[in-house]
Amino acid sequence: MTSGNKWYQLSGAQADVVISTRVRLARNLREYPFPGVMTDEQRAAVNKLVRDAVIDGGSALSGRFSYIELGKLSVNERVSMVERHLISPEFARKPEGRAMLLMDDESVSIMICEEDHIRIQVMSQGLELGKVYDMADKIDTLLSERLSFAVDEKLGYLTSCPTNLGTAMRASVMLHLPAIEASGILRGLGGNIAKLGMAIRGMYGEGSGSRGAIYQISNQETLGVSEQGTIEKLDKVIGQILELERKERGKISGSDAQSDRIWRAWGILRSARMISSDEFVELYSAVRMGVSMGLLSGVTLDKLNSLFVRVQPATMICESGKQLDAAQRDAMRAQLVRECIG
Amino acid sequence: MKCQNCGKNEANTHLKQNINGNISESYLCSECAEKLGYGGIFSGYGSFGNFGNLGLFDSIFSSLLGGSGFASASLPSAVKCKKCGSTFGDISERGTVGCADCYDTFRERLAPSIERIHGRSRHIGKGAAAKPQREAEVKAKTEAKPVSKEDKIKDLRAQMQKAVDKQDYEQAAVLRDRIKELEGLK
Repeated sequence: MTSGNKWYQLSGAQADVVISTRVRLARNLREYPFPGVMTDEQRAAVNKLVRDAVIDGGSALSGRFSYIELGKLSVNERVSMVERHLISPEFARKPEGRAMLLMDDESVSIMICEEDHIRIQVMSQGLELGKVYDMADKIDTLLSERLSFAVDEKLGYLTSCPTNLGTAMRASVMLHLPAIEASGILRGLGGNIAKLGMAIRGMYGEGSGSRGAIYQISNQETLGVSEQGTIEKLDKVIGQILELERKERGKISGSDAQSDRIWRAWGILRSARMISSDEFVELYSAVRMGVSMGLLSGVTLDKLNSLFVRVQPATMICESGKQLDAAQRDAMRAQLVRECIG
Repeated sequence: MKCQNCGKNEANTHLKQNINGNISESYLCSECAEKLGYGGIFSGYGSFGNFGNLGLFDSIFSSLLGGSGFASASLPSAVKCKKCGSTFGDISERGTVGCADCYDTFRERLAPSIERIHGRSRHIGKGAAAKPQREAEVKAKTEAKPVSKEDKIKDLRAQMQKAVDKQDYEQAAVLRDRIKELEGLK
């Protein structure tokens, strides 16, 4: 791994509202049953085929990937990868016989035999839909030169779940929308986004609302739409949401109640000796907005993005090198927060 | 969020329907989802997961995995996919097909569900044959240009003829229906 900063430790374009961008492509090999029904031998064979196609692929990118067998990682290491958005929770839960490819800067991960044989995932800080899609497309093309993908003229890329047929692409942007959330217009906004073939979800899952006002917006349409068209449409919608969020922030920026909330959050984060995950997320959201609006200074959005991942439970355990119980984690979290913004 | 049907239970099923490009979304509790006939995974669409949080998404997946989501699940399930051995019943139960060949083996039976999920039935993205032309067709169909009905019908007739020339009878039938629809509106 390189020593440089990872995408989740940086901030990028439109950082006041946009945290990160991700594009995922699902691909399957024509000759093998899909992961849900394959045997252990077939799984091992597919792992090797995909590994060889990438590592021995002879492209400039080949040397930048490492092949990781999930069974060789500890539970904490696997969960930390989920916290860093490198693999899905489902992939982390059953490590036996599972493998992945990870690029040195952790901006590209390829899950092998998750729900589909291949899930190419490209991630970036900030709003970078075009760039991120181009990278995913490039890797897909490289792989397709060495592997025979299951494609149907009418249905497009064939996937385990028919909901992904067609482009088999999911593009998502993670956003911080505290002012839209506070204004109460989120619900109506969600309806409009749905009409456009996209979905907005709280970071903590559907139906759970959101904590920390972190949301992701992603395309839902895959069949009968092109990749480029999907990316452009999503980009346009995100642009409008950015404007809306900024407008709503502008409306509340002068209010005493708002600035009190932000300054109090700042005070607690800089002083607390123990912070639970829930409390952190709430206070973090207020501080992030305060920094974005120029109300608070002394910490950058880069550092705040990085902090969010660093204080996740499994990531802290991996960093400390020893098992931590909940109270110890809360203490370590408070310490990391103070080091970051104190 | 409360269930939008009963308003009492916590919603845990996110339902998206795409009918002819009109997308409606609702948040239901598992009981109402079952009651309204949306028990299968195909009516949900979370298979890509999210940015990476543990727990919540998984419980939604598993609650959606029960029951059969297919409109035509009553058809005999004796036919097996030659490659992976899946029956239509297996696919219906799992919510996922067994292999690429399943889409051929069960093409007709899967078609209504696929159409219901996507509202469209033909791939126009990467790897699609004659992509630019298809995309142009789709654009012509979806972009609301101020064109007279007569012009539109004329245009559709030309497209239909092209489809017939290419022996793409399916596409031709779709176009024919659209022409009929427009003529009916005259």
